[in-house]
Amino acid sequence: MTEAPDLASVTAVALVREAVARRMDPEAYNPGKMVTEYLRKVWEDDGRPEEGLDVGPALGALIGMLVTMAGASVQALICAGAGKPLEDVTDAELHERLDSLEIDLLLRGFGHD
Amino acid sequence: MTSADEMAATARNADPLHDHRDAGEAWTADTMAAHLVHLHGADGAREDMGLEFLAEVHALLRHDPAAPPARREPRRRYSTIGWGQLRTSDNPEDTDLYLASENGTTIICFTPADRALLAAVVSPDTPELRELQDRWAAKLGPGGRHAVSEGHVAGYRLGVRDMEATPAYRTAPPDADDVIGYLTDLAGTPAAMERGMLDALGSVTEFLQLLKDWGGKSS
Repeated sequence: MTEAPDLASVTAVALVREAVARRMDPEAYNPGKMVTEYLRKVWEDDGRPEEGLDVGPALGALIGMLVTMAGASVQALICAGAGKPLEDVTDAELHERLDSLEIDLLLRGFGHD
Repeated sequence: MTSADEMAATARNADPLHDHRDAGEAWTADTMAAHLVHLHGADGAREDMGLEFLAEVHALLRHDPAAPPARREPRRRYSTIGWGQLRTSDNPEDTDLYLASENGTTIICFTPADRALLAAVVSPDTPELRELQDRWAAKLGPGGRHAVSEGHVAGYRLGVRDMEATPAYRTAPPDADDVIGYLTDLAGTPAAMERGMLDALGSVTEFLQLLKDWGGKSS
């Protein structure tokens, strides 16, 4: 039986998806904000106070680097699958391929120990 | 395992930043952790949390049986470190960044003004990656050997290298094109791309798990 992916895995995939969907433009997505939302969800579930929850810009930059590394491979895979450079991949096609990729990743139970 | 108390004692007795940075010596996880504790010694409210978190990271690095089960995979001690300061356009305060690595495992320590964060990232160590490392080290010139190392940690190293070598670079995060260029070279085949993607996603996930656990220590 396939175990459901954990929240960290889902968030990681979502972060990378968002970055690629916005064509890796660091001005167009905010990984620090997304991770803050992740922590808020985790902490709410655990009943922890939200004090000090916000992820600062330096941490956001680090997460951005991580996401960029994963996104670069995702982007390359999409281009290889489409058989054309990224600038020739339409937004609709990009989202369609990301949908397939995301489902595939989550079905693998990605991120489990 | 080095206990939190031992680390705190070490931190009180020395500032390893100056000892090791000035001498150009390799850092160990001990000195790095001690320095982080030292940094947080000025903030009593955060000290206990930092100590507890570092103790857990030490358990991880030393493959200590007391480490949490999910983190008990074998890893090697860290023996080298890069360091620099990051100043982003929306973060005018310098942020210390430390990085230690050995054979594919990297630990990154961010010490923004109000918190410390450590992230362990695993990356493969293969002959192909070594060859790539050599090539990129030559391409990047002085500091390149330090800048590129095992697999997917290279993105960090590019940033650290630039932060060290180019003062102007400290006004912005590492250039995404450098990272993407490196990975495009690395990921020459679809299979390699997929492996790289999964590795990098694993890094993001592990990072998020560390954040989650870290938050748990503060509650």
